[in-house]
Amino acid sequence: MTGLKSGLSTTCRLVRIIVPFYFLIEWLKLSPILGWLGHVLAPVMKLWGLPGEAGFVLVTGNLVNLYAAIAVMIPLNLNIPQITLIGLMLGISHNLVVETAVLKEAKIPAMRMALLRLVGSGVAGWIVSRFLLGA
Amino acid sequence: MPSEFTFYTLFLHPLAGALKLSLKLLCIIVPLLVVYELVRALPFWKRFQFLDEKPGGMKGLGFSPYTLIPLFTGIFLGIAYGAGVIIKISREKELKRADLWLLGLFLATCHAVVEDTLLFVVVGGMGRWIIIPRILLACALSLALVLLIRAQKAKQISP
Repeated sequence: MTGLKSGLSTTCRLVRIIVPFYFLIEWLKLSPILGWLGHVLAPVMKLWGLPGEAGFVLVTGNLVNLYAAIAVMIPLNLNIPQITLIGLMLGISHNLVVETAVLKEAKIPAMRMALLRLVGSGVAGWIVSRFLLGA
Repeated sequence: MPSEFTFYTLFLHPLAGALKLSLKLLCIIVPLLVVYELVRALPFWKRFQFLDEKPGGMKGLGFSPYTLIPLFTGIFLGIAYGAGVIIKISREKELKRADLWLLGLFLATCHAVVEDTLLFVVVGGMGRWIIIPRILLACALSLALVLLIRAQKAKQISP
């Protein structure tokens, strides 16, 4: 019975944190901000052997979520190694706005984790791109 | 992606999504914490604590046994659910700072591995290249942190 009660109160706490950020992200999707950031990233995408447009996919995945990122990625017609590489990079680091808020509520040093994820995603992606793309 | 600003795109659509998400959280976290309480009442949980005392047990890895449940919840179901369990346990003050760091580090880089990987496999990605480097990264970062914590402890004992 204590499990039931703490389950309800924990869900309430999580909902209270997640819902405001969920709205923020939906509004972000409607705004031009994701597009701007994608443009900024486009020139450095070469580092991972990816086309400039992949910057939009990575920005969307990191700020919104994987579903939105895949929706952006599909029309780009990337090849299998490129899709795999984006899958790895976004797997390590995605949905940072909501997940950072959730980790913070669990008293985990969330900002540092987010930074580590971004760096880890870049480094792991770079190493794996040597194998996959033979660049 | 819709690009029009209407009452629907700005409020109704996000609200519907938020409600769906909240229901999903409720449906997963309540049963999870009920199971957690049940497991803790079982005699075999005591055996976990016994394991904890042994060298090479969870303590050897730097985790306390309470971290097992949130760790596996997070790895398979996702970070919101894993963190849900962590929120509950850390309110009972059963987690040390090192536990929170280790859990956070592992889960931040490696969670919901089945769903995340399948999403990209469905659109053509190679699963093993998505999942294996991710697990390796999480293990390497956790190991580095465990070694760091141990080195700090050793320094405290013999300054």
